[in-house]
Amino acid sequence: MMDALTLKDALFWAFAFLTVGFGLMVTFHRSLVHAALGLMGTLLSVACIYGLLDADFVAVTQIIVYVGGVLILFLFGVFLTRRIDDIEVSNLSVNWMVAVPAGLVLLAVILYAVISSPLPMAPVDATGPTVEGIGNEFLSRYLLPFEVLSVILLAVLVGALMMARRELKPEERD
Amino acid sequence: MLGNGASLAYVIPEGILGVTVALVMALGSFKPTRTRGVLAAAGIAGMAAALAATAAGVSWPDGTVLAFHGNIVSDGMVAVFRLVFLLTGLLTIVFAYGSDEVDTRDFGDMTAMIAASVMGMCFMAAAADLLMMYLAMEFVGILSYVLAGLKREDQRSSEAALKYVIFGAASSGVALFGMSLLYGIAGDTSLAAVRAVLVGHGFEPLGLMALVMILAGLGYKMAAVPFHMWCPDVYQGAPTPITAFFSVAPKAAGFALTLRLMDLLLGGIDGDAGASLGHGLAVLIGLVSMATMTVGNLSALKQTSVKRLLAYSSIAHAGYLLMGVATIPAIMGPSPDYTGFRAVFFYLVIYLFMNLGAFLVVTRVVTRLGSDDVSAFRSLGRRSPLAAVVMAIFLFSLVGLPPTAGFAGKFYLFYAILSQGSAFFYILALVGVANSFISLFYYARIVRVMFLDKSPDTRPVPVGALAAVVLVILAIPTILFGIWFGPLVDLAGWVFI
Repeated sequence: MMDALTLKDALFWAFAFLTVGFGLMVTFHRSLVHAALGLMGTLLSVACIYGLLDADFVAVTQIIVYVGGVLILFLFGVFLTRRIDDIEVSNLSVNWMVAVPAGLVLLAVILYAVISSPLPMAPVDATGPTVEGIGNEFLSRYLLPFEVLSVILLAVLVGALMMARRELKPEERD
Repeated sequence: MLGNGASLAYVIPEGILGVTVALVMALGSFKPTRTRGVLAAAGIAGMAAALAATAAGVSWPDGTVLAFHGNIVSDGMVAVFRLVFLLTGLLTIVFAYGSDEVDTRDFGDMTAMIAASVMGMCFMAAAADLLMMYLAMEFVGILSYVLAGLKREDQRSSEAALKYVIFGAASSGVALFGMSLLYGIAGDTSLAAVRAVLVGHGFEPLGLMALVMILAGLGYKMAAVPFHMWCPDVYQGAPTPITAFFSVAPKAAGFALTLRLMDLLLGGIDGDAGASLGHGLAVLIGLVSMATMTVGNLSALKQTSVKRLLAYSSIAHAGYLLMGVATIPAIMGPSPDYTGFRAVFFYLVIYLFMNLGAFLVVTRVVTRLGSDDVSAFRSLGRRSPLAAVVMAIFLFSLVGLPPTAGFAGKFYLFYAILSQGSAFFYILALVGVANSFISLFYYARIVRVMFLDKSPDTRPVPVGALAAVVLVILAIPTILFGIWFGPLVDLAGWVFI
């Protein structure tokens, strides 16, 4: 029989619904700014789910990087882009006749696969802060990915500069 | 499994590339408008050093070594793919040096990005961990987006970059979703752990779905149908030397990673669970292969831009190569047979020479005549005999006509799939042969235009001394490997045991 609904389960379901609800807002709202606000709700709810899973480091990173960084950049991008006079340009319904059935089929396949496959459900005895463990892993087992990631970030930086520099060129010539 | 310190000996070529990137960037910050030659020399020297080190056996262990706590593998396959990527990167810098499509101001950054991208590809061929796989793919992807958008003030180039980013982001997301599912199943990111779960109790259908999602992300790198839509626009919009690079290196890296993934997950695997998964993937890849070559060849027929035509031709070639990947059932079981995988490597090496050669001719024509339209190639046989003759060799090799290397490559691929001995593979081979026949029409059209059509402008088109030398260097293996392919076959056989 079903176990009693613990507080943790209740919180999980609450945040899960919030995540999906805000996600729908991102998907369907016509206004870019409202979609961005919905994205903030989604990201925060996901951070709460991470918290419930005892993944404190990931939860905090999620808030700092995504809510505090990416989302704010996104909003600045919307506000500072001159060409967007009318910001009601998000989510234009193009090709929905194809997209909706394709999406539903994909959803059905994923649901079927997830439900019919036995996933390991062992409880993780993660208690206490995870930062130390993550730090140790990064500098031992995952050192190479960690270093490669730093090179990738450098490449992104240089690439973004190259792309952005293009706008300045005509002024330089004058 | 080696720790981090001891593993450094197995990434020396990547280290050389890292130093090259830093050096070129530092040099590029001094008067970038005057140092094009210096930057090209530094980039070429770095690539050549890494190439020489690899060829001399540096970081090339006899057996298989798991380095960096199992994040990467070092073996013969990594080493030979390093050679492929490094050679392509080196030639791209040579092409770009003589092309006016890359602004001198950007030349240093471009050289650094090509070197960094080659480094990422080496990691793609070596990845033995889901995290490393993903990072290496993103590495190559992000650099490609920037390289595609190199031509400033060119709307097509910007469009190419944007399309590349959007398609790339979507396909990375799909692949990452697949990887997260595999991680969920295995509880560990290493492919060895995923394989252990697979051997233990199989994981259909979730594992199959996860693998299909990862293959979709890789299919985008290889430009396989139905993930090919970005390819013609990106190839047409990017500067021609960069297009040449895109048409060979990331594609080869996508194949390297696919072969690596299939080998680590299914190579020599026993038991029904793995076998049914492998057969399912083989049929799927076979079907994608048929679709890829057919769509690529049929779309190429009506192209008037040679860059676009070669883009569709490269899609078709991804289809031929996928035939070799589809031989997954052969690598499973107690006596694995890697003939199909060898054929893929063999073909990739030949493809490198013939495709880069064809693109070098296009690069020179675009630089001299300012157009890559088929009409720009009229009378090239008289206006620039060397370029036209070698172009004809490269194109006939791309068709797969004897005695060129393309014929040997196709022959090996068809041999590999026919030796599978099942009806599905016979059909696959039949589709492959039919497609090679179709491809004759559009390649031969360029040859006809070059030698038979009259151009109103009959002034000679000088290719330049450096380009002429490189063209001859590329044409030699394109013919030689068609006649004397023994050493290359031996190398392929030695790498995939």
